[in-house]
Amino acid sequence: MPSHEIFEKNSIVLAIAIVLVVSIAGLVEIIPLYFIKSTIEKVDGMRPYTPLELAGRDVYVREGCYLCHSQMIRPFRDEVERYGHYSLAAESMYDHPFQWGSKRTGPDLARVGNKYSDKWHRDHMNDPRSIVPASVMPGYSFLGKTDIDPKRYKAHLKALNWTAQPSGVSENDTGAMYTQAMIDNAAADLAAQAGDPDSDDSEGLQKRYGGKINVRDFDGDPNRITELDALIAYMQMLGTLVDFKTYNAKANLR
Amino acid sequence: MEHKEIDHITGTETTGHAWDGDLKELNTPLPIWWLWVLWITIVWAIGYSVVYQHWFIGNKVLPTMSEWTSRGDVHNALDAAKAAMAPQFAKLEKASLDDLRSDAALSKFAVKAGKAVYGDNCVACHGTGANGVFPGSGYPNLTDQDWLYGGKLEDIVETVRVGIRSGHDEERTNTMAAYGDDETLNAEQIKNVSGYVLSLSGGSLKGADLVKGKQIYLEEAACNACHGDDGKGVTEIPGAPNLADKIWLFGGSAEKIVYSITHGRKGEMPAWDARLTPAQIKAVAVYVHSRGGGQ
Repeated sequence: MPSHEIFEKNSIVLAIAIVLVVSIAGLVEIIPLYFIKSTIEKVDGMRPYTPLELAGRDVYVREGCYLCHSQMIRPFRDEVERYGHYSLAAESMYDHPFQWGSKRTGPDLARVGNKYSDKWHRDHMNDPRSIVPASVMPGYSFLGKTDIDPKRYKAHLKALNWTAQPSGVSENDTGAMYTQAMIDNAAADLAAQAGDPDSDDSEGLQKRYGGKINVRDFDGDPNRITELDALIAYMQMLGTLVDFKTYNAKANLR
Repeated sequence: MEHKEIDHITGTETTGHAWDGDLKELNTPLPIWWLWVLWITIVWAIGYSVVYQHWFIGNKVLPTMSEWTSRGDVHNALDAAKAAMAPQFAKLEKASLDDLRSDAALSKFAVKAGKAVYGDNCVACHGTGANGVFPGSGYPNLTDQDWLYGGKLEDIVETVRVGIRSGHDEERTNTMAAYGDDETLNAEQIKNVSGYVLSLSGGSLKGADLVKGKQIYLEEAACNACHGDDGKGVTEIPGAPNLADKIWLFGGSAEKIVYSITHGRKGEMPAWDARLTPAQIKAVAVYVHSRGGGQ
């Protein structure tokens, strides 16, 4: 019988042995993911978040929406029939961090984009029970009264680029999320998407991020850019980017 | 030191160690069945890994032994469900709306299929009973006889398909101007015309001059162009509500009516043609039509 004596009498040896044993799971399960590309499906339509959507996403994270709402449609028939196509890894490629969540007190939001009207979202955020009588969601009426400073978002875009590409930005570099033009125009793009009547940048915004962008006044107050504008812009985009007409599900089963 | 002996009190063998001279430990190992479960789970894990898990050589992915994937599984389940309902959905797809009116069996299927679609997509605004949940909140009751864009099957299908102010190329829309914000009418005039509008359905607004209100309704603001001389709406102009009944999409209190005339109203409904199939849109229209309000 081999003796345990050496482990039991030397705490350093025991610690090293524990680290070795625990590492095996990591080596087997995590390391291969760094080398294979097939874990991310080939899709058309994904783009980085616009500055306004990013601001909305920040509100979503700050308020802890992920504690009650998932953004992950699992591959089950009941979920697919209720919420739409199951979520793809590719749909989270610009998420730092992702908002998959692990708890559903409210419904999944992965494909809530364009499902309800802006007015519905406004009424629902101000007073959820004015729309859904049995809802237990808290009201977020302060969002429509809290202004956003568009100038802040240039730095946000830069920071996100850093998470994706530590060496910086270049137009030709596919690793970077945001191009230099996107970063330079962040404040103007944010105002333009929120339907700022003084802004004439909406064409530039569409050109930089692609055509599939909701540009309008989301919060019902055209004179202000509020956190409610941002949050609704973010939610109305969720799950709508990938073009499922060109997506080959059978080729991406695993 | 290693000296096994039988403990007198319990009758159990000791492990043979002794600490501090005379401290001994009874040898009571894990039950043999427990150990077997441990060994079986280890063997199971190896088998599972061989059958289901991808292994790697460098960055080359080896195929798994089993073809099973959870994604393949859900596609199979969806395909099977689709195949089971295919005959009816094929019929529904091809059926004209007149066919649906005359074919009772198909119409019954459409109501059931439509109810499922309604439950997943429409409940949030129109309520589980299609009754709009809160009168006057801007989300219409679909069980009454008031239809802004028509209550025939054809009209409902079209409204579901393109939505209202949805951004769809063929979206439905209407125009209720903001007479106060535009400075077309002053506060006094808005009060008078509000009083007149309320009087059409038997209501009243204290202090409103109905004669002046009627004049504004017919001339200055020309409300009758869309709402009709009698307030019952003009059928050729979709989206103009009947003001002579007691059904109010945005509220029928004097305060709400003054607000509507001052700031205008812009109802919204998403377009569903990207999310629902034509057969599903037909089905949900038949379901809504069957709730009692259809024309």
